[in-house]
Amino acid sequence: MRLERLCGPEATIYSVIWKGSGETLFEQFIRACTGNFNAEMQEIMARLYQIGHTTGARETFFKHEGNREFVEKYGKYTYALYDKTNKNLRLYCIRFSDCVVVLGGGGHKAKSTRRWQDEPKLSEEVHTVMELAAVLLEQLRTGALHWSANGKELQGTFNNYNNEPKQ
Amino acid sequence: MNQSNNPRNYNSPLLDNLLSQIPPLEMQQVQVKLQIAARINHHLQARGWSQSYFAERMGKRPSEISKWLSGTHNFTLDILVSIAWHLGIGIRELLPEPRRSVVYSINVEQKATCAEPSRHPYGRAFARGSVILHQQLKAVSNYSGYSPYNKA
Repeated sequence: MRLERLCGPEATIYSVIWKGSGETLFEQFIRACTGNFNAEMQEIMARLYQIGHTTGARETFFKHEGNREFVEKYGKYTYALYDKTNKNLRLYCIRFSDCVVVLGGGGHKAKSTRRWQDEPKLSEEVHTVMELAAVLLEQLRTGALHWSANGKELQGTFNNYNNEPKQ
Repeated sequence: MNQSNNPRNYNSPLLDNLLSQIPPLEMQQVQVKLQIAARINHHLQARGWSQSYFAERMGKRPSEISKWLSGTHNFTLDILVSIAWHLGIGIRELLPEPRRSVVYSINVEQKATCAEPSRHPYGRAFARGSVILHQQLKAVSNYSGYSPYNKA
Protein backbone atom coordinates (compact mmCIF):
# COMPACT_ATOMS: atom_id res chain seq x y z
CA MET A 1 0.00 0.00 0.00
CA ARG A 2 1.32 3.38 -1.01
CA LEU A 3 0.76 5.69 1.96
CA GLU A 4 -0.56 8.67 0.05
CA ARG A 5 -0.18 11.32 2.76
CA LEU A 6 3.45 10.48 3.48
CA CYS A 7 4.59 10.16 -0.12
CA GLY A 8 6.09 13.21 -1.74
CA PRO A 9 8.55 14.26 -4.43
CA GLU A 10 11.52 12.93 -2.45
CA ALA A 11 10.38 9.47 -1.39
CA THR A 12 7.61 6.94 -1.75
CA ILE A 13 6.53 5.33 1.49
CA TYR A 14 4.69 2.03 1.55
CA SER A 15 3.34 -0.32 4.16
CA VAL A 16 1.78 -3.75 3.94
CA ILE A 17 -1.61 -5.22 4.76
CA TRP A 18 -1.54 -8.94 5.39
CA LYS A 19 -4.31 -10.88 3.79
CA GLY A 20 -7.32 -10.88 6.08
CA SER A 21 -6.19 -7.81 7.99
CA GLY A 22 -7.87 -4.44 7.63
CA GLU A 23 -4.85 -2.33 8.53
CA THR A 24 -1.31 -1.82 7.42
CA LEU A 25 1.53 -2.88 9.70
CA PHE A 26 2.28 0.79 10.25
CA GLU A 27 -1.29 1.53 11.33
CA GLN A 28 -1.16 -1.38 13.76
CA PHE A 29 2.00 0.15 15.22
CA ILE A 30 0.31 3.54 15.55
CA ARG A 31 -2.78 2.08 17.17
CA ALA A 32 -0.74 0.06 19.63
CA CYS A 33 1.51 2.92 20.72
CA THR A 34 -0.31 6.22 20.29
CA GLY A 35 -2.11 6.28 23.66
CA ASN A 36 0.99 6.22 25.80
CA PHE A 37 3.45 7.91 23.49
CA ASN A 38 1.41 10.39 21.50
CA ALA A 39 4.13 13.05 21.28
CA GLU A 40 6.69 10.54 20.10
CA MET A 41 4.29 9.15 17.55
CA GLN A 42 3.68 12.66 16.22
CA GLU A 43 7.41 13.15 15.86
CA ILE A 44 7.72 9.88 13.94
CA MET A 45 4.88 10.98 11.66
CA ALA A 46 6.47 14.39 11.12
CA ARG A 47 9.80 12.79 10.22
CA LEU A 48 8.20 10.39 7.76
CA TYR A 49 6.23 13.23 6.19
CA GLN A 50 9.40 15.30 5.75
CA ILE A 51 11.34 12.32 4.42
CA GLY A 52 8.69 11.93 1.74
CA HIS A 53 8.37 15.61 0.95
CA THR A 54 11.69 17.31 1.73
CA THR A 55 14.79 15.22 2.27
CA GLY A 56 14.31 11.68 1.01
CA ALA A 57 15.12 8.59 3.05
CA ARG A 58 18.82 9.17 3.61
CA GLU A 59 20.55 6.25 5.21
CA THR A 60 21.82 8.33 8.12
CA PHE A 61 18.22 8.90 9.22
CA PHE A 62 17.98 5.18 9.99
CA LYS A 63 19.81 2.61 12.07
CA HIS A 64 20.67 -0.63 10.40
CA GLU A 65 18.99 -3.62 12.08
CA GLY A 66 18.59 -7.28 11.31
CA ASN A 67 20.77 -10.29 11.73
CA ARG A 68 23.99 -11.27 10.02
CA GLU A 69 22.38 -14.16 8.18
CA PHE A 70 19.98 -11.80 6.42
CA VAL A 71 22.69 -9.26 5.59
CA GLU A 72 24.96 -11.93 4.14
CA LYS A 73 22.17 -13.28 1.97
CA TYR A 74 20.46 -10.06 0.86
CA GLY A 75 22.44 -7.03 2.00
CA LYS A 76 21.53 -4.05 4.16
CA TYR A 77 17.83 -3.43 3.79
CA THR A 78 16.26 -3.64 7.23
CA TYR A 79 16.43 -0.56 9.40
CA ALA A 80 14.84 1.22 12.30
CA LEU A 81 13.97 4.88 12.09
CA TYR A 82 16.71 6.60 14.08
CA ASP A 83 15.63 7.36 17.62
CA LYS A 84 17.30 9.09 20.50
CA THR A 85 18.33 7.07 23.53
CA ASN A 86 15.64 8.68 25.67
CA LYS A 87 12.84 7.72 23.26
CA ASN A 88 10.46 4.87 23.86
CA LEU A 89 9.28 3.81 20.42
CA ARG A 90 11.05 1.97 17.66
CA LEU A 91 9.72 1.62 14.12
CA TYR A 92 11.20 -0.92 11.71
CA CYS A 93 11.22 -0.68 7.96
CA ILE A 94 12.78 -1.79 4.72
CA ARG A 95 14.83 0.90 3.06
CA PHE A 96 15.49 0.21 -0.60
CA SER A 97 17.05 3.56 -1.43
CA ASP A 98 16.80 7.26 -0.65
CA CYS A 99 13.52 7.16 -2.56
CA VAL A 100 11.68 4.07 -1.30
CA VAL A 101 10.80 2.85 2.18
CA VAL A 102 8.40 0.10 3.24
CA LEU A 103 7.19 0.59 6.80
CA GLY A 104 6.77 -2.40 9.04
CA GLY A 105 5.68 -2.41 12.65
CA GLY A 106 7.47 -1.68 15.84
CA GLY A 107 6.85 -1.27 19.48
CA HIS A 108 7.88 0.02 22.83
CA LYS A 109 11.55 -0.13 23.62
CA ALA A 110 12.12 -0.30 27.36
CA LYS A 111 14.95 1.80 28.76
CA SER A 112 16.72 -1.36 29.85
CA THR A 113 16.55 -2.83 26.34
CA ARG A 114 19.78 -2.36 24.46
CA ARG A 115 19.20 -4.76 21.57
CA TRP A 116 16.04 -5.77 19.74
CA GLN A 117 16.95 -9.41 20.39
CA ASP A 118 16.37 -8.81 24.11
CA GLU A 119 12.73 -7.81 23.69
CA PRO A 120 10.28 -10.43 22.34
CA LYS A 121 7.93 -7.92 20.68
CA LEU A 122 10.74 -6.02 18.96
CA SER A 123 12.39 -9.27 17.96
CA GLU A 124 9.13 -10.43 16.38
CA GLU A 125 8.80 -7.15 14.46
CA VAL A 126 12.37 -7.26 13.16
CA HIS A 127 11.91 -10.84 12.00
CA THR A 128 8.66 -9.88 10.27
CA VAL A 129 10.43 -7.05 8.45
CA MET A 130 13.27 -9.36 7.45
CA GLU A 131 10.82 -11.96 6.12
CA LEU A 132 8.91 -9.29 4.21
CA ALA A 133 12.14 -7.89 2.80
CA ALA A 134 13.15 -11.38 1.68
CA VAL A 135 9.81 -11.80 -0.14
CA LEU A 136 10.07 -8.40 -1.86
CA LEU A 137 13.72 -8.87 -2.83
CA GLU A 138 12.95 -12.30 -4.24
CA GLN A 139 10.09 -10.82 -6.29
CA LEU A 140 12.38 -8.06 -7.53
CA ARG A 141 14.90 -10.72 -8.51
CA THR A 142 12.36 -12.77 -10.47
CA GLY A 143 10.80 -9.71 -12.09
CA ALA A 144 7.40 -10.10 -10.42
CA LEU A 145 8.18 -6.68 -8.99
CA HIS A 146 10.17 -3.98 -10.68
CA TRP A 147 11.04 -0.34 -10.29
CA SER A 148 9.29 2.44 -12.15
CA ALA A 149 11.32 4.40 -14.70
CA ASN A 150 12.18 7.10 -12.15
CA GLY A 151 13.18 4.49 -9.55
CA LYS A 152 10.74 5.85 -7.03
CA GLU A 153 7.88 3.38 -7.26
CA LEU A 154 7.49 -0.35 -6.89
CA GLN A 155 5.46 -1.88 -9.67
CA GLY A 156 4.36 -5.38 -10.47
CA THR A 157 1.85 -8.08 -9.85
CA PHE A 158 2.05 -8.24 -6.05
CA ASN A 159 0.73 -11.79 -5.96
CA ASN A 160 2.84 -12.64 -2.96
CA TYR A 161 0.31 -14.12 -0.63
CA ASN A 162 1.68 -17.63 -0.89
CA ASN A 163 4.97 -16.36 0.46
CA GLU A 164 3.44 -14.12 3.01
CA PRO A 165 5.25 -14.15 6.33
CA LYS A 166 3.34 -15.34 9.35
CA GLN A 167 1.32 -12.61 10.97
CA MET B 1 -1.85 -12.60 -18.92
CA ASN B 2 0.29 -10.30 -16.86
CA GLN B 3 -2.13 -8.32 -14.82
CA SER B 4 -0.89 -4.99 -13.60
CA ASN B 5 -1.49 -4.75 -9.88
CA ASN B 6 0.64 -1.88 -8.64
CA PRO B 7 0.49 -0.88 -4.98
CA ARG B 8 -2.72 0.87 -4.23
CA ASN B 9 -2.79 4.45 -3.05
CA TYR B 10 -3.88 4.14 0.52
CA ASN B 11 -5.53 6.91 2.47
CA SER B 12 -5.76 6.23 6.14
CA PRO B 13 -7.98 8.31 8.45
CA LEU B 14 -5.68 7.22 11.28
CA LEU B 15 -2.64 8.77 9.56
CA ASP B 16 -4.63 11.84 8.54
CA ASN B 17 -5.77 12.36 12.09
CA LEU B 18 -2.28 11.99 13.53
CA LEU B 19 -0.79 14.34 10.95
CA SER B 20 -3.45 16.96 11.62
CA GLN B 21 -2.52 16.94 15.31
CA ILE B 22 1.08 17.93 14.67
CA PRO B 23 1.55 21.63 15.43
CA PRO B 24 2.94 23.44 12.36
CA LEU B 25 5.88 24.75 14.42
CA GLU B 26 6.87 21.22 15.40
CA MET B 27 6.60 20.12 11.78
CA GLN B 28 8.90 22.99 10.81
CA GLN B 29 11.41 22.07 13.52
CA VAL B 30 11.52 18.46 12.34
CA GLN B 31 11.96 19.62 8.75
CA VAL B 32 14.89 21.91 9.56
CA LYS B 33 16.67 19.28 11.68
CA LEU B 34 16.42 16.77 8.84
CA GLN B 35 17.54 19.34 6.28
CA ILE B 36 20.60 20.37 8.30
CA ALA B 37 21.56 16.71 8.75
CA ALA B 38 21.13 16.13 5.01
CA ARG B 39 23.34 19.14 4.21
CA ILE B 40 26.12 18.07 6.55
CA ASN B 41 25.99 14.60 5.01
CA HIS B 42 26.06 16.11 1.53
CA HIS B 43 29.23 18.08 2.34
CA LEU B 44 30.89 15.00 3.84
CA GLN B 45 30.09 12.94 0.75
CA ALA B 46 31.24 15.71 -1.58
CA ARG B 47 34.64 15.61 0.14
CA GLY B 48 34.75 11.82 0.33
CA TRP B 49 34.99 12.00 4.11
CA SER B 50 33.69 9.16 6.25
CA GLN B 51 31.84 9.87 9.46
CA SER B 52 34.74 8.50 11.50
CA TYR B 53 37.23 10.71 9.64
CA PHE B 54 35.06 13.76 10.27
CA ALA B 55 34.73 12.74 13.93
CA GLU B 56 38.51 12.60 14.16
CA ARG B 57 38.89 16.02 12.53
CA MET B 58 36.40 17.50 14.95
CA GLY B 59 37.71 15.68 18.00
CA LYS B 60 34.36 13.97 18.55
CA ARG B 61 33.21 10.37 18.92
CA PRO B 62 31.81 8.78 15.74
CA SER B 63 28.53 8.20 17.59
CA GLU B 64 28.21 11.98 17.96
CA ILE B 65 28.47 12.42 14.19
CA SER B 66 25.86 9.68 13.67
CA LYS B 67 23.54 11.59 15.95
CA TRP B 68 24.09 14.82 13.99
CA LEU B 69 23.34 13.06 10.73
CA SER B 70 20.24 11.31 12.05
CA GLY B 71 18.05 14.39 11.69
CA THR B 72 17.00 14.19 15.34
CA HIS B 73 19.68 16.43 16.83
CA ASN B 74 18.89 19.84 18.23
CA PHE B 75 21.98 21.75 17.10
CA THR B 76 23.36 24.64 19.06
CA LEU B 77 24.70 27.59 17.15
CA ASP B 78 28.20 26.87 18.46
CA ILE B 79 28.11 23.34 17.09
CA LEU B 80 26.84 24.52 13.71
CA VAL B 81 29.61 27.12 13.51
CA SER B 82 32.15 24.47 14.44
CA ILE B 83 30.83 22.02 11.84
CA ALA B 84 30.88 24.69 9.14
CA TRP B 85 34.40 25.74 10.15
CA HIS B 86 35.72 22.17 9.94
CA LEU B 87 34.03 21.75 6.55
CA GLY B 88 35.51 25.04 5.39
CA ILE B 89 32.16 26.53 4.48
CA GLY B 90 29.93 29.31 5.70
CA ILE B 91 27.26 28.44 8.19
CA ARG B 92 24.57 29.48 5.69
CA GLU B 93 25.48 26.47 3.60
CA LEU B 94 24.24 24.23 6.38
CA LEU B 95 20.89 25.90 6.68
CA PRO B 96 17.86 25.30 4.50
CA GLU B 97 17.52 27.81 1.72
CA PRO B 98 14.78 30.32 2.34
CA ARG B 99 11.82 29.64 0.16
CA ARG B 100 11.41 32.22 -2.53
CA SER B 101 8.18 34.08 -2.49
CA VAL B 102 6.57 34.17 -5.87
CA VAL B 103 4.37 37.17 -6.17
CA TYR B 104 1.67 36.70 -8.70
CA SER B 105 0.17 39.83 -10.11
CA ILE B 106 -2.95 40.16 -12.06
CA ASN B 107 -4.14 43.03 -14.17
CA VAL B 108 -7.80 43.75 -13.97
CA GLU B 109 -8.84 45.56 -17.03
CA GLN B 110 -11.47 48.15 -16.51
CA LYS B 111 -14.00 47.74 -19.26
CA ALA B 112 -16.34 50.47 -18.14
CA THR B 113 -15.14 53.84 -19.16
CA CYS B 114 -16.19 57.26 -18.24
CA ALA B 115 -14.65 60.64 -18.50
CA GLU B 116 -13.31 60.56 -14.97
CA PRO B 117 -12.97 56.92 -13.81
CA SER B 118 -11.78 57.84 -10.37
CA ARG B 119 -15.05 59.61 -9.77
CA HIS B 120 -17.12 56.84 -11.28
CA PRO B 121 -18.38 54.45 -8.55
CA TYR B 122 -17.57 51.34 -10.64
CA GLY B 123 -14.19 52.74 -11.62
CA ARG B 124 -13.22 53.15 -7.98
CA ALA B 125 -14.55 49.69 -7.21
CA PHE B 126 -12.48 48.16 -9.97
CA ALA B 127 -9.37 49.95 -8.79
CA ARG B 128 -9.94 48.94 -5.17
CA GLY B 129 -10.79 45.36 -6.16
CA SER B 130 -7.58 45.07 -8.12
CA VAL B 131 -5.50 46.10 -5.13
CA ILE B 132 -7.30 43.76 -2.75
CA LEU B 133 -7.04 40.84 -5.16
CA HIS B 134 -3.33 41.52 -5.64
CA GLN B 135 -2.75 41.59 -1.89
CA GLN B 136 -4.66 38.37 -1.37
CA LEU B 137 -2.69 36.57 -4.05
CA LYS B 138 0.56 37.85 -2.59
CA ALA B 139 -0.44 36.65 0.85
CA VAL B 140 -1.34 33.21 -0.47
CA SER B 141 1.81 32.83 -2.51
CA ASN B 142 4.04 33.87 0.39
CA TYR B 143 2.72 31.00 2.46
CA SER B 144 4.54 27.92 1.38
CA GLY B 145 4.91 26.05 4.62
CA TYR B 146 3.32 22.84 5.78
CA SER B 147 -0.32 22.86 6.56
CA PRO B 148 -2.07 19.87 8.00
CA TYR B 149 -5.06 20.92 5.99
CA ASN B 150 -3.27 20.77 2.66
CA LYS B 151 -3.23 17.28 1.32
CA ALA B 152 -0.08 16.56 -0.59
